[in-house]
Amino acid sequence: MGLGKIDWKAAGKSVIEFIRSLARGDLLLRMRVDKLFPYILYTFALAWASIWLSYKVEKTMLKVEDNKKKIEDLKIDHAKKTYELVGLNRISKVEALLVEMGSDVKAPEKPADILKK
Amino acid sequence: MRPENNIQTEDRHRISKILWYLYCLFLVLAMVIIGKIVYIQFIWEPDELVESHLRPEKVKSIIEPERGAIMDCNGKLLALSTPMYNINMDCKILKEEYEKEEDSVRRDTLERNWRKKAEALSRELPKVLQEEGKDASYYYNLIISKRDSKKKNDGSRNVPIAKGIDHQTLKKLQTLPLFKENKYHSGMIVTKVDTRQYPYEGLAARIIGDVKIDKDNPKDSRFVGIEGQYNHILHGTEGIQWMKQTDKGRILDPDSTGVAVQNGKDIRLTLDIDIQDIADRALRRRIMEDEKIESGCIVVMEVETGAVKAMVNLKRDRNNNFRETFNMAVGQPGEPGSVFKAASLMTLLEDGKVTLGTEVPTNHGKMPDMSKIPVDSYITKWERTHNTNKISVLDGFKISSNYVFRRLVTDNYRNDPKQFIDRLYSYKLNDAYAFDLEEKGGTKSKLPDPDSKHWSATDLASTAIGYSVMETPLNIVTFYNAIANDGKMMKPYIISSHEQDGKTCKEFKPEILNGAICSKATADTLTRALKMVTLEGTAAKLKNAKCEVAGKTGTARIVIPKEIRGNSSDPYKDELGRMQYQATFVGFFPADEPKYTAIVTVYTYPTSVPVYGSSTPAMTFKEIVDDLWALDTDWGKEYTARAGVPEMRAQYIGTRQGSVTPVPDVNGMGLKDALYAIENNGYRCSYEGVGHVVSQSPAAGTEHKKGQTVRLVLR
Repeated sequence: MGLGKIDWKAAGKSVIEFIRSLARGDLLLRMRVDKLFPYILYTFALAWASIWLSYKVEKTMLKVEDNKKKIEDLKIDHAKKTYELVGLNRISKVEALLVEMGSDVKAPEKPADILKK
Repeated sequence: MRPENNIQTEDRHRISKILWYLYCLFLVLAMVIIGKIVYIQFIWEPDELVESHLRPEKVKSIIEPERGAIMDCNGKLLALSTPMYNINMDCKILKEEYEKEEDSVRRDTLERNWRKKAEALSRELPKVLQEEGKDASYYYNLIISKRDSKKKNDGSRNVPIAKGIDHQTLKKLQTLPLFKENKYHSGMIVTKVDTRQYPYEGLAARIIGDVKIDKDNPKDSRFVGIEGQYNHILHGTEGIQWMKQTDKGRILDPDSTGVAVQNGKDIRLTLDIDIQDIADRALRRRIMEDEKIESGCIVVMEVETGAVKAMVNLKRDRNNNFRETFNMAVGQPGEPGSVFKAASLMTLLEDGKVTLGTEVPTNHGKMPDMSKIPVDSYITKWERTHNTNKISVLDGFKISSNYVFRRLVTDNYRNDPKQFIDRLYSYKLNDAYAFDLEEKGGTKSKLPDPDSKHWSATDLASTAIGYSVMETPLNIVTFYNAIANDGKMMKPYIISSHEQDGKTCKEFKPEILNGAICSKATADTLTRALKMVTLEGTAAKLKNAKCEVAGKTGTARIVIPKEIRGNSSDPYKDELGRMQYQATFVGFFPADEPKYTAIVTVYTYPTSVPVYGSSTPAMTFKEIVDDLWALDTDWGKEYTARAGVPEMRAQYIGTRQGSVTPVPDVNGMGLKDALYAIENNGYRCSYEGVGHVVSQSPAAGTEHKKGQTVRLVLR
């Protein structure tokens, strides 16, 4: 048989055999795909794991973004509270508040005594 | 009857048929799916809108860095950033959608419900925002009138609800009717505005400064103080990240690369905000009382390091309020007057020309060969009261005699004025010290140059008493600080370190400008002279300060700008003969072991009544000394404990079961704890004395019947 010629008869037989085999349901067995079955399973598992991990990553990232917002909120609240508290810490403000409240507590008139062991 | 085998064969045949049909079904399905995949992959072209939803959008997001804080030396926050929020409302939200409804009943119901929610929101808004004059009807009318407006060119659909509210208020607003729904239903538009907060309000405002960036006109941007000058440190650098849109929101794209944000660094100052507060309050109170005073400044410096502990700059505004608008301490040099006599005296002492006891002929206060120089009235008074024609250098310094210092300097340096002036240069009185802060629009200190063509015959005499020289308060206080520091001149500095997340990135240590501007002996002599000024001299008001002060007063006239003095030929007088004064007190305390050096300078409007360094500045200085002395624990009396106090021990005393248990060890406990331990173990307790248990009977660990008494002795 020359290289350029096609054996149409054999090809036709093969196609018919392919269709028959497909109809019988033993195509894969005839192709000896059963030997590759573990690899097919492995590939399927990899694809499944990849999709599952992408889904989990996305879910985690959503949680991260959500937590970022919460942290941001807490940081803002902390900064605001710090600002309010620091403002109250001013000596002249404390003294003015004491006077306003009618307190007898006043600024020290002499330095604190130091107790040594 | 059919044989059993035939039945089984028929069953198998039927099952295999069913399986075959199923197989065919799956085969067809598989082919359809494969066909669909091929179609979608190679033939199908989706609608752009559908594609945009199927392909997650990736958005470049710029992360703004957090601006660093500014702290004082004790870590107290002087400036920090917190976001504030502006709230607007899109009042026409959903209106068009409702109008498209074909069912008129449903349309009216939807609109009515929205309005009901808006009404409920309007009722709650005044309670949360508490803005004066804005009640429920105000907000309701604002929202509804905008919603009903049919004008097409009436601006945007939005109305302002609140401006500059804090995060807590925002959270409260987000719980109100309508606003608690998503923005596509409520129309709530929140705009975040990063705002710089200054917890100490106007305190040290000029030092802390501010930044205002005008994007349209960058030349008009404002960079003042630490905020402005160190904006590059505080600001940090922006970060970049790529975000991916998902069904549930936007997330960081895990496959992307980005640029990490670098937050701004914190700046720790040498400033002590408590000292700043004390100085600010003292100056404010004193200058408020005197309408002649236009402005004043204070610098408090730590002797050993040159660290600036306080820098106050107050200027009266049109409304008679004092505000920090210009850093006079750094950027406003003036003729210092008599406080400069210490520099003259240092030079005379260092060159061995005089001692404090050297006597000068009084000559009725007239400078020989200088008839234009006015008679020194302090000397004529001295001659009268002491019935003498001589005065010592110390007495001349005490009474701040211009005649004595003019005469001493001209007599000793007439032939070589450069020797005298060179000494002044060595005291760094012409330096700006490369100080951490510059004042825009300010000028620098300046000493005269005998080689210059502008040098005149009277310059030497006037320099001796603090005229013909221009000095900033910072220069003067640095010079006096060197006297307090035994002649070692420290570079003044105000930035202590750069920090990030509480860790120091860069630390600025004290630097020496001149290891010895004078000998220790000269510094001691000057300290003695300065102490005499506060004890018996011009600053005797400081005699009763809570700790001893060594210092000097100075009063100088200020050259009045031509546009203010008008036709007056005297540069120090205006047309009405009034003068402007710069009055100063500079000194250090405690005089024998100095910890702080401080300067108080006040500047007057043109006035016919002088303000002297011995009045407002000296009194302000005294107030600062008294307050600082009371607050500083270093100056407290020390007491040594004479009695030993038993040391408390932490131990666990359990409750034991059984009729016989070991007695717990209660030695060293207070009575309350000892009683608890003993009675919980089933014993009774008796005690004598007060204090802590020093002995117990029976001893700890003894097996003892429950109900028996344990005796304790406390001491």
